[in-house]
Amino acid sequence: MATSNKRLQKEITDILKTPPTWCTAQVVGDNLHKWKATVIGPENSPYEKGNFEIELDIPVDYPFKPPALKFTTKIYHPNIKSDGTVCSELLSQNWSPQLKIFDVLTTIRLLLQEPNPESPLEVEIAQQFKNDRNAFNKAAKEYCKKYAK
Amino acid sequence: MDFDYDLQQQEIAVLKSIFADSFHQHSTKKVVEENGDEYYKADIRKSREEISYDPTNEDCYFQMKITLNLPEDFKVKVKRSDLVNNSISTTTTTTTSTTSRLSLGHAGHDEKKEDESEYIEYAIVSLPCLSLNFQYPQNYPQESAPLFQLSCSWLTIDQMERIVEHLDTLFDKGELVIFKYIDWVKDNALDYLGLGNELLLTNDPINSDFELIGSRAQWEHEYNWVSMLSVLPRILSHNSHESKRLFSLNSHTCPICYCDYPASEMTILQCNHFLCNECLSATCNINIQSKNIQLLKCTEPDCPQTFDINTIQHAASADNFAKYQDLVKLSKGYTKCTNCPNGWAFIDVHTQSTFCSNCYFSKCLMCTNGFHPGVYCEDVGRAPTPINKANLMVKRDKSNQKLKDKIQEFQAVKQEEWKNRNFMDRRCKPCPYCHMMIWKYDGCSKMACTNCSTKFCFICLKIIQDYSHFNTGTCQLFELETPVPVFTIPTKLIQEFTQQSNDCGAMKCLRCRSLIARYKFNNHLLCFSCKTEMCYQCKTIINSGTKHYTTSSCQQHGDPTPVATTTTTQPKTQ
Repeated sequence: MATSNKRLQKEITDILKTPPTWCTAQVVGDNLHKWKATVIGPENSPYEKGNFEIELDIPVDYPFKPPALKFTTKIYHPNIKSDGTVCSELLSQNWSPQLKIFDVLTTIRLLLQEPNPESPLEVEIAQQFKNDRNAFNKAAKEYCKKYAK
Repeated sequence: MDFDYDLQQQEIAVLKSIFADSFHQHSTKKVVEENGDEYYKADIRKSREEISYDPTNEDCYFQMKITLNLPEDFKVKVKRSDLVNNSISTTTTTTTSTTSRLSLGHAGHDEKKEDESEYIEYAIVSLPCLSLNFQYPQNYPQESAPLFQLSCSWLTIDQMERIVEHLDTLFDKGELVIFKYIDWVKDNALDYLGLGNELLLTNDPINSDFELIGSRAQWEHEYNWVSMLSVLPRILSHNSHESKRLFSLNSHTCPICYCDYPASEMTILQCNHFLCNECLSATCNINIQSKNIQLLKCTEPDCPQTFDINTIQHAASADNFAKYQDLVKLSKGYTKCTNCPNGWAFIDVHTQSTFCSNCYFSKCLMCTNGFHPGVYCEDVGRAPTPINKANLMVKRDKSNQKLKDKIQEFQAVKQEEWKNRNFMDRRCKPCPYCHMMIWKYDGCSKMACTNCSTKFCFICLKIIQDYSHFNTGTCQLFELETPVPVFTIPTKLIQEFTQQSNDCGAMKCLRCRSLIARYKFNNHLLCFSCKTEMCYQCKTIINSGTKHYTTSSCQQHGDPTPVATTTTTQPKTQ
């Protein structure tokens, strides 16, 4: 507990001191273990310019256990469920205690840039992504316009 | 003739004060014993105070140990084929190469051990020192240069001779030159030899016969060294000591908690990555508790170095360390012996039996009774239970088609049984590998068993690796039904199950939470899934077999009327 608090404190001050251009992160209320982050959709992807809000639930065992993620902005993506949950294996597979929340957000941005249709949470979207890329791009852009402002 | 001892003495004083511990004085003393024997005794003076220059003593010479300044990414390279051949060729080198194997992990900083690469590389922060031995001729520095000799273990004689020749050109008459020599060797020697940032050690044999006594370049070697490759263990051990010494000088920031600690409160791993002891303990304890022993490794992303067992023993709590050892055994294919409390039995896949090295009990995996080689379970009068039959893993013995068919048949029977059991909710299914009951209450259908970490499809109970299974087959990644609320199943299940087992009683397995019925009022329960023994009366896990009932207040045969005894109870199947 002591480790995680100290570390989260440090991470949030680091992010506030030198804010990255493509994401923001802040603590919800007084609870260091609940974060709210926004990731701006990467360029040259259908999510370009979208603001995606993410809730991060950080376990007490952090950084030895990865945080849990949930998108609060609706998004059209093969690896993100319609209720916003992301497969926990995304982070737990190669998790290392040296990775920071900022690295988690980087992973998410990469996921937006390159969806992985091989391990989908939304099978239909994955099929569309594989077979009809244009329709997928169009749908994703529409969602992005409608919800991610 | 007027010799300039003053200047010489002056230089010695300067060297003494600058280099202190790496500056030595050697001389030989003549010792005459009482019986008239004479011999010469080496006299080495290392301490700064003891060194004194006496120009009249011709035996006296000075030695300067020079540690080279290495570029940051300096590497020692060895041809993979050389290292392998070397270990086979001679007995003397086998010893050296085993040490090099050991330290292979030691210094394996950024070392790539990929099999396809031609070279093995070791990242090196410090090489063993070069020695510069020198003596002043009487007319130094006015007329002639100092007499000197260079020796080193990791440079070839040719290379050293090139250095020596260059050093000769540095001397100008009337100038004190030793400091200039040292400085040049320290900073420029590697570049001058064209080594850049890597040193290649070859397997070419070195013939030490041609070494001349008076040669100014000497190879510091041991009598059994045959090639430059023999130096490798010395380089690695020097490097490992030196990097530890450098590490211990400063305090460092733990890459996990970002706190500064002195080196004594940190652990440095074999890969030269480090973390503080507190974070190390936390990593070990948390990952052992969540049974992820594959995560007990260096925390640097992509570094493959695992913690060694001593590190884990020191870092983890005693409970967790015991747990860790159990997990390791499980992962190596051992299983807990059902016959004795602390035994571990190994599984013989050819005979489908287990053998415990503690109590020497050998068990047939088919019928869980004593092993009966060469005879079918049915023929010895002990019919195998369907569940134990299905316990056999098909993949263990692919060659035996008959056995395979038999197993599949029983597995089908078992699956059917699971389907028909009305007490068993759809959300509890056995792991296809270890048959631990797995309860899915949320998430997708790709499940990981909490006991053996096998990944399987929860719908068709097939062992799978990734999500592609859900794209190709009929199984859906997400089932449409809403999950059953947590904690409602067990009580309901127990009630139903209790009724079915003729009100004899049932309880959840204390280890894997499978439901076990009491059979004929026998209080000694054996979990059909994880093989844990439990007492129905005191609801504890028993390790000592039926001895529990003689040593405690529990009775083996419970409440109303004791019926005929069976020592271990099988769950009642319908």
